[in-house]
Amino acid sequence: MIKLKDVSFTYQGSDGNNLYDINLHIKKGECVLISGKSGCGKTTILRLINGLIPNFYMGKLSGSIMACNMDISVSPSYKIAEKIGMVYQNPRSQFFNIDTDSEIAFGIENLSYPRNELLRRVDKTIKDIGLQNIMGRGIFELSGGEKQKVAFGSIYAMEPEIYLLDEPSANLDTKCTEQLRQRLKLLKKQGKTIVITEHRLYYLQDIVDRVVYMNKGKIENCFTSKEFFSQSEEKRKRLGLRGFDFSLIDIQNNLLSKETIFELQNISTGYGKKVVIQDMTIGASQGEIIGITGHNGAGKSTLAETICGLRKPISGQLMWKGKPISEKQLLKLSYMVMQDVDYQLFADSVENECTYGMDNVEIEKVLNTLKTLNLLEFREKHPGTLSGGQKQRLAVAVSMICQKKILIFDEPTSGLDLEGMIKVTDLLKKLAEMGKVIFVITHDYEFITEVCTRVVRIDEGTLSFDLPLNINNKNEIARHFICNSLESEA
Amino acid sequence: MKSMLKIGAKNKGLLHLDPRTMLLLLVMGNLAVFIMPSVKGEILLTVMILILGLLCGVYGFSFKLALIYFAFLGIDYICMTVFNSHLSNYIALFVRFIRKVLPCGMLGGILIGTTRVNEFMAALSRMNIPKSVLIPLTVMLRYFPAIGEDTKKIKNAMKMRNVTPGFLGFIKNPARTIECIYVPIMMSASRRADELSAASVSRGIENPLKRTSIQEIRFRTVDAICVLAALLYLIFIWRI
Repeated sequence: MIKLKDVSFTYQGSDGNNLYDINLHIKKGECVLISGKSGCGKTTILRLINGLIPNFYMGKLSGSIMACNMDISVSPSYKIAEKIGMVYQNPRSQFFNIDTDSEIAFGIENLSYPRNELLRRVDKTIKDIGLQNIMGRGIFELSGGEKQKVAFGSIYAMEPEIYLLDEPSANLDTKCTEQLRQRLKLLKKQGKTIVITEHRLYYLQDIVDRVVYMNKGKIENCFTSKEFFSQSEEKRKRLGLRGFDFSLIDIQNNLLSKETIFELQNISTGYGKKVVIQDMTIGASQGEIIGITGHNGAGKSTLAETICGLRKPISGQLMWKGKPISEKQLLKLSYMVMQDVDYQLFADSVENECTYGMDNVEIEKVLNTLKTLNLLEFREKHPGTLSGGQKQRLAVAVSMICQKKILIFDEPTSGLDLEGMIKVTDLLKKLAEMGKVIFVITHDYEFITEVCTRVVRIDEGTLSFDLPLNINNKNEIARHFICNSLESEA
Repeated sequence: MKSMLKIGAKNKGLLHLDPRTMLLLLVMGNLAVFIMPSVKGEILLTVMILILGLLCGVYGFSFKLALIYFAFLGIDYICMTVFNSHLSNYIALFVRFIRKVLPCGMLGGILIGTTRVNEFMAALSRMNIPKSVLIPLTVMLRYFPAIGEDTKKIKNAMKMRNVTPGFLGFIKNPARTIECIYVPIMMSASRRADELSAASVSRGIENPLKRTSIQEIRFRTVDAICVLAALLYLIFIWRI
């Protein structure tokens, strides 16, 4: 079905090859996982298969790429589109329409099917993917999981032979990931060929047939699924891969923290009069790292905005050091590191970013902060040219210079490999040692067990539990992350 | 065949016009402003557009702009009759300029508010407009709502940095506010455009055949009535 022969590729403007001598043969109906660290060339392979390289992304290409009996590098993009569909990592970036119905029909409209056929296919897609509840909605009001569903549906309607998925679970909670797994199963049953790149591996164990491990632009190893997932934990970590099986994860007993310094007392909050978070009481002390979890769309972001002082609570009281505090005062104390950090970087160099919007900042302090966060060598660079992790650290640097006391991280590990996750873990621990109060919104169980001292779960706007992370509570916390497949199929 | 699709969910209004009709009305509206003989004719135009907007289900936006229009009309009147000094004349002139473009702004807003991206593409494709014009136009239509989303996030980020966004911040420190809003918006726009193009290319947007549409696109009686009304109006103001 797919045959890559001696393929090498260099993106325009990059030095050194991005891919070396790739030889890969994928049979019809096979499901292949491409794994490896960030930047190893996983996404580049997908782009080769669907012809975006060299049609869209320019560069130096050698070797031959055949898929569905087409020579990809010379076929027109709309011919490839009929046979090969790709679901992108960030669904937001693939939406061409602003309502769900049109988005699902977008691809098949491009292929100029008659209207009857369009309706038939859209109806089938709605039924097979389970989109009944989100039809006729605007894409801006969808949660992460719903967006992913719509993105998937728009490809499914095109009925391609080959599905390419680029980190499909990056923004999904456990339940949505499980739904994704069911969708992949459906494709397999239909005999489709699937190629997935992914960092989170645990949900793919009984889906993939073969695993390709890449390192620095080369295929280093090919495993059968069984060989791959039965590797020892030690070997997995050496390959820089995320966990296969959550039940293996140990939880260390964390020290219980001292007195409460920041508190939400009976807080209700929402948009206008619409209550999203109801009557929530959470206390936090210095040096604590509190994980906030819950389904896509449970109200986590709204809560985060309230903790930041960006959203005025409808009722309830915010407390700091035992005294009531207004949301305006709170705004001065707190800082959120957004999932999309680009929104919060404004200046033209790393150094200027640190002093942006502030008067009388000592240069020494800026340099020290940059040094602590390993950013000193980039001080002259434009923030836009940094890597994702570096941007994140720059945002943290800003918060340290502003002397913020409360930090909130929104999905800091989405799309990160093991190494990236460990770096974030170290960063948060360092901040905790400085006595910051830290909240982390995350779906990432592996990450939670590494870093959090406490886990707060929100279900439909109310507090489901608030537990310190220790061995006694392990099962209760893990229950929400290790999806029981029997339960979800029922 | 009964479809699960809720076609028309975007249009809460009584009326749904063909995108081509909307474009035609926009052209006629511009023409009308150009040859406008009197304030009375202009008021009539605004009222007609307001009615169109309400029928199409774009309530808030239509009302808001109509209100601004009449407020400006009032300011103009007061400046000219009550004060009648140099300064007030300048103010009246300024207000009048903005007022002149308001009716067409309303029409444009109604077009964006009622037309789905794919409908718009299919309609233009039927008018034999080449893809090289059509695709950028559509991306623009698609990008307007995204700006709102981006701006909200950026404003939040600014607040956390103690840079006051909004009008007050703009007065206090215009250069910084502009930089703060526009730099990230530009960065995110160029990123979005890239990703969006890649995603649409890989879903066959370059197909040279005419696009089809899941919404039925054809001229209906309502389209004819609207165009006729606009035509009558044009003749009416032409004759005065």
